[in-house]
Amino acid sequence: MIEHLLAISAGATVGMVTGILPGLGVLVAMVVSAPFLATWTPLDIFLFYAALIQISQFTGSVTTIYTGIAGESSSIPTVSELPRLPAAQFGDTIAATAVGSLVAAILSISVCWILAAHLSAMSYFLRTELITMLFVFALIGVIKYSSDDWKTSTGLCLIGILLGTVGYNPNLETNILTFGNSSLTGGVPMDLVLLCLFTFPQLCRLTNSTVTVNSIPLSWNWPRLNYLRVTQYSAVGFVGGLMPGLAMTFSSLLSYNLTCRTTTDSRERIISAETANNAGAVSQLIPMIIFGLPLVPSEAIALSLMELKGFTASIASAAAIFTSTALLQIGVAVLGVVLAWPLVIQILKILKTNLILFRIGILATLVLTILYRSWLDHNMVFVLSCMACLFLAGWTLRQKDTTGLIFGYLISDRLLDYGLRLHSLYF
Amino acid sequence: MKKLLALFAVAIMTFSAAAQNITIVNTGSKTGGFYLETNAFSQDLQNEFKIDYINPGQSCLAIDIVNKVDKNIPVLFLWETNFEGTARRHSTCPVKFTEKELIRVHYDAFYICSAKPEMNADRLIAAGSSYKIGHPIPAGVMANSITKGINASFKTSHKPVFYADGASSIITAMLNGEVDYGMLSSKQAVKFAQSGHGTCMYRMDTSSADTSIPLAAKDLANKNIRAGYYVAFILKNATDAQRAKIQTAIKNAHLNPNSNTAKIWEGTRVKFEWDTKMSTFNQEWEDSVKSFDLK
Repeated sequence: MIEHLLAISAGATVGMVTGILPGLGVLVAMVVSAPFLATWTPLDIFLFYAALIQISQFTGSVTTIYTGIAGESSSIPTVSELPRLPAAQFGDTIAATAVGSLVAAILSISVCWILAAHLSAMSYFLRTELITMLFVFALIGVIKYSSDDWKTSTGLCLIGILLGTVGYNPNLETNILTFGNSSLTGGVPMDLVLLCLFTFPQLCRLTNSTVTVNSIPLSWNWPRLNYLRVTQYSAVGFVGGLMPGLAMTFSSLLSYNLTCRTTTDSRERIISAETANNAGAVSQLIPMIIFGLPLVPSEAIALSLMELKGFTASIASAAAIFTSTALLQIGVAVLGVVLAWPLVIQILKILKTNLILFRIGILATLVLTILYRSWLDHNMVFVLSCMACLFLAGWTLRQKDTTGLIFGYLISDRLLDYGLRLHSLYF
Repeated sequence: MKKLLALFAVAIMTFSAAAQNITIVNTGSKTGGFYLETNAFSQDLQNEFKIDYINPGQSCLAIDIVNKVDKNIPVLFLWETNFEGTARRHSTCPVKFTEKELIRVHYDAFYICSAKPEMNADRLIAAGSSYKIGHPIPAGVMANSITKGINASFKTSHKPVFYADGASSIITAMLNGEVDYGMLSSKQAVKFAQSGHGTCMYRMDTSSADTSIPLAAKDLANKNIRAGYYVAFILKNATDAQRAKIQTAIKNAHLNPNSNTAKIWEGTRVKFEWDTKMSTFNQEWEDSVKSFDLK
């Protein structure tokens, strides 16, 4: 039990740092933690990873709302909605997203716990036609609810899709837009695209924003929440978390798009996105421990470490894991809400010092992290060249809503993959 | 005191000399099968060697790094006929190696599995049958093993369905009924069977060391039924003594059931060769590369 608590504490600490520092990301956290986790038991690695992703979603919401910077792609809807949120509602929104996230996490963990023995039925959500439908639906939603006009947002989506297709395509077995550069066969790096084409333009825009940390009063009152709606966001987030390649990102985008159809209230939209990603943080674990199917790269690292220690994915192992860890995971969610609400004042103290300096610091940290990793991978020249080009593009797009571009980039390979697969399945 | 310090210095120098440097480069994706294996033996070897592990996540970039490593430092990497075929087709980063540079070789054949109890071995090769078979990358080659291999030999009309995300997606597609059969590598086939979700009935080769049926043995004339690839452990820049020491260390890790390397291959019947002769192996390697080099 003590070692499980140790694993959770370590995961929660890393998750807190990952969430607070935008752009650090769960993948980077797992890459850095992997050497330390290599000696742990599969259950402890699972608990570490589950705590990491859950807590990073809680603390990530805080930093995103107070700085307007989305390090994790699951925060993209919140950043897009933030300029429309009245400053007076910031404090209450923080509390509401924290409590909503807690409810989502508890509901999702409970569902997994109760239905542990029947979780293999989740594979039906992963059918090609259903996933394709969700992709198209989300794409339409991103275009429709962009703050730009539909022509601009469609154009940006197409640019994102084009950017995402760069590299060696295993479907078509050919290089696309690599211009003979072997480094480009792996595609344009995701961390660079997120940094230069999303975080950077947001940062440029928010520097001139009237919203500052000093004007945000923290609400100590229990937030006003429609729990039926929170349950609905949780359900949507839970299904969205099963999306290969996107997981929590898709949870928040899907829930946000659905909420945009029913309300213009920015607070409600943010709650829907931030609640859903916590449900997705739980459901994304299901394919990993039942089918050995890692939905996102960070999960692939967690799974490979678990497998190295003798873990075999199966219904039985999933049932055992969820049954034995449910209460611990609920404990993590409670810790998350404490960090993201009552203790948020501690985080604010850091942010209040100098917001512009803080943002510049974050940007510098991100740039240095990426450059350090590229140095380790002997890939510095390529990364620097890409960074220069993408920063230029990011500066050009600083007045645009680049959510669609990022979404197009993230799903482009899968759109082609699923499109071709549907053709071979049904024609 | 001086003697003690001198002894300490000698001890440190001896220890430093014992910890020989090796660079290990992962030529596969950042989190795929090659990463798992190189990461496993990096951990197993770290007590004997000072290891510099590089994981660029892209095969040609990795080969570029291999070529740039200091020529006095041994560099170890995995290379498979699938990568070589693709590299030759696009004239990107083909790899040449000598017998002395080969540390270990194995052939990994694909298995045909199903999650549906009614989809047994006989139904797959029954003349006139038509089922959907999920397969991994490279798409063209794997589809060929179904259309020009199984369909041509057994007069069937199975439909190949391609899954870019690899084995885990194929397993999911088998479980949700999207495909009737799926092609899995030996490691994945063992895990799939152990999980209790289904069975693996055929090995797409001319022989089989386990209970699966060697499918290619049913029609030896049709080489397209054989689906799999050779994987070579290649060690560059090493002297004979260094090669012997590194090969022994890797072999010991393989033979130790508690090592990380052994766990990677747990349950499989893959045969590893440690003293491969290029005179016989070269032709097998080239034939396998050609099967992946579809112009």
